This record gives sequence, structure tokens and C-alpha cells, in this order.
Amino acid sequence: MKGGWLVGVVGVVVLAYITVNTLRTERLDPHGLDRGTPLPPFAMPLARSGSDKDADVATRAGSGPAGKRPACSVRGPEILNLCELSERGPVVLAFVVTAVGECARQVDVLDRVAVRVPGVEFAAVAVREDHDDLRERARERGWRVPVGYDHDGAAANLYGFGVVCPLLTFAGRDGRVAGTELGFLDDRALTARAEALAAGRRLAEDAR
Amino acid sequence: MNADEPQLAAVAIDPRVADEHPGLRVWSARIAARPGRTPRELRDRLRLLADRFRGADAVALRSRPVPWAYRVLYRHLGLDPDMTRTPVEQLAVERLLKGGYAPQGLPEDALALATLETGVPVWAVDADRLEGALVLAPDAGGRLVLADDAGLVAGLFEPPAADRAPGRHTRALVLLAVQAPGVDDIFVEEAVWTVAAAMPTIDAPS
Repeated sequence: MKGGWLVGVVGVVVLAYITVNTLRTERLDPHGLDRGTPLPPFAMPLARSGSDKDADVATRAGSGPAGKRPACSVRGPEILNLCELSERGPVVLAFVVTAVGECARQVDVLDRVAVRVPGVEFAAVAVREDHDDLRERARERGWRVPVGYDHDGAAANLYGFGVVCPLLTFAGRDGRVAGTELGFLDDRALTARAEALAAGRRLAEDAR
Repeated sequence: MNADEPQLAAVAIDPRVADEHPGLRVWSARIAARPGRTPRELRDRLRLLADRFRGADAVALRSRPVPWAYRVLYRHLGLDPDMTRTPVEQLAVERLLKGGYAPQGLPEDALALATLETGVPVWAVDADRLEGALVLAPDAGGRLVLADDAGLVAGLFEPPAADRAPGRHTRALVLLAVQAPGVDDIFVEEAVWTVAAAMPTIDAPS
């Protein structure tokens, strides 16, 4: 066929583009972020809101599927915005699938510790869940901490949320990761880490 | 039956507890009553309640506003209400397992009736075994307890310590009702009045 080689070359280029693009947008490290990494911005609907839109993870305007507006600029009473949290102080983020008992219990712990440790911002991000189920669970368990709804897992991917639930990310006042924990932390362990964050102390070595 | 309406008094709440659990309150009310056999009228009311109660009611119980408020409070206190049942849910499970409420005597049956009808848990202590004012505060281990000048009276959501519980020589009771955040005062008042009304009247101790 005349010009068949051209179709082949175009096909290879398209395939290469798709592969590179996939590698760049899919976070492949399912173990959380390393210490010192700047927190990736995100904005997402709160579980209690009526919105089930995807999270905005764009770092600049017009970033296609990541978001039309920079995530930091997407704010409102029904939005969980990482930049807004980080501006207020150190941050503790829990990425969870609340349909899993251990993960839901982690939000219970987060909720209790948040009351006891002032000066630290606490939030949970529910990943790829049914919005109605999540909203009902948040109501039923009486969560006071903000719980974001990461519909397609875009934010969770950026934070390296993988098969282990929960994933806890701790960030200092500088907006950089101070530590990451995989798996459930009880009240005492989480309080100790949150108090260290509030005091500007380095987290224990078991937090990556 | 006890005709006089008991006067409710707010138990002091330690500021640390108030900060962490705004809206959590404990009420006390003194009534002239003593332990004894369960009157027929109270046995009938409990039987009626048990007869009306079905498995579906037990499932739906947790979503009703008052029982739900206690489930939420349990989580905020660090208790899993699916493992450590709230008082009203414990009574519901007992009904399902035993098919009814066997008489336990007074004040236990009056307390159970109040909790079943309102969702608000109520306990009773011997009024003469209290010393000074009650306060809800954390103990050394962080557990919330009701204490007076002489020490521990009861853990929150727990029966009174043995040396504070009503006994043979009790002439007056202090009822203790725990109000979870979000529960209207009227439910608490109703719970305390229910207990008082279900207890046989005795002459007030001089």
C-alpha cells in the first residue's frame, strides 16, 4: 500500500506518546512520597457536599484532565483544598478507602487526635468510593475532620497511595513531606507524630 | 409510684473534657427511693416493650437520632460501638437473644425502661455514699470517669463502683444521665422522670 510506511511511523509515534504520557500521569510508587517532597496540590469536593466531580490536581491553568484551573485556586466551603490546609500550618493527610473497616477506623482516630492537637490541619481523602455511601458513612460515624472525595483517585496517585490502606502523609509548615506511614496508627502513635509536627520536630525514623 | 418530679442538676465537667467533647453533659437527680422487687406495672411495661421490639427495629435503632448520637459519642471517646455497645443497643441485643426482659429488680428495671424508651442511658448510685460534688474528668489513664471528693464513682457509661452502688440500706438514689452532644434536653428529662415515676415512693429521708 502506497504511503503505508508513513502510517506505520505515525502509529509508532502515537504509541510512544501514549506510553510516555501514561508513565508521567500515573504515579507508580505506591508507597507514599519521600521526605522533603513538596506536597502536590489538589482540590476536591468534600464528602458532605453534593458534588461528585473529579479532584483537580492541576498545577497551572489549562492542564487538561488534571484540571482547567490551578488546584490551589479552587476553593470554597464544600472543597477540600490542600493549599488552603498547608497555608494554615502542618498537615496530616490520611488516604483511605472508608468501606474498609481498618481504614474507616483510621479516620475515627484522625478525628479524635485533631481535637487534641491544635495547630495541625487534619484531613482524610476517600479514594475511588461511591459518593453516597461515603457521605452516609461520614454522617453515621460523626466525622468532624474534613473528608475529601477523590472520585477517580487522581490525588491519591500523586501521593503514592497503593494497596496498603491507610496511607498517612505528614507535612511541615514548609509544605514539604515530613514523613509517610503505611498502615493503621492508633491514637497514641498519631498524637505523638502530630505533636512533633506542631512543635516543628523531626518525625521518628519509622515515618519515611 | 414516685409522684414528685426530680430536679435535675448539671454535673461539673472538667474543662479538658468540655474542650474535647463540647455538648457532652451529665445530669444528676436525687430521688427518695430504694432497691426492691419490680412492681407489676413496670414488669408489664417492659414486657410490652419487648413484644413490640423486632429484629428490624434493632437494625434500624442505630440510625434513629438519639441512639445515633451515642454511637458518635462512643467513637469520639475511642470506643467502637460495634464492639462495645451503647446502653440502648445492649438492651436491644439482650431482647433479641433472650426474647424478653426478665425482671432484675429495682432500680435496674426502671433504668432499663428509661433507656429503652428514650435512648438516654441512666445509672443509679446510693445518694448517701456520695461525698461532695460530682465531676466528670479524665483519670490518670485518660479514661473519663465520674468522681466525687472520695474518688471514683463510676466510669462514664459504666455501672457505679461497688462501694457506690445501691444496696439493702439505700434510702435515696442519685440518678446519673449521660447526655450525648446533639441530644435534646427533653430526652434526658424524660429519661430521669421515667425512672423516678417507675420507682415506688418512700418517705424522703430526714
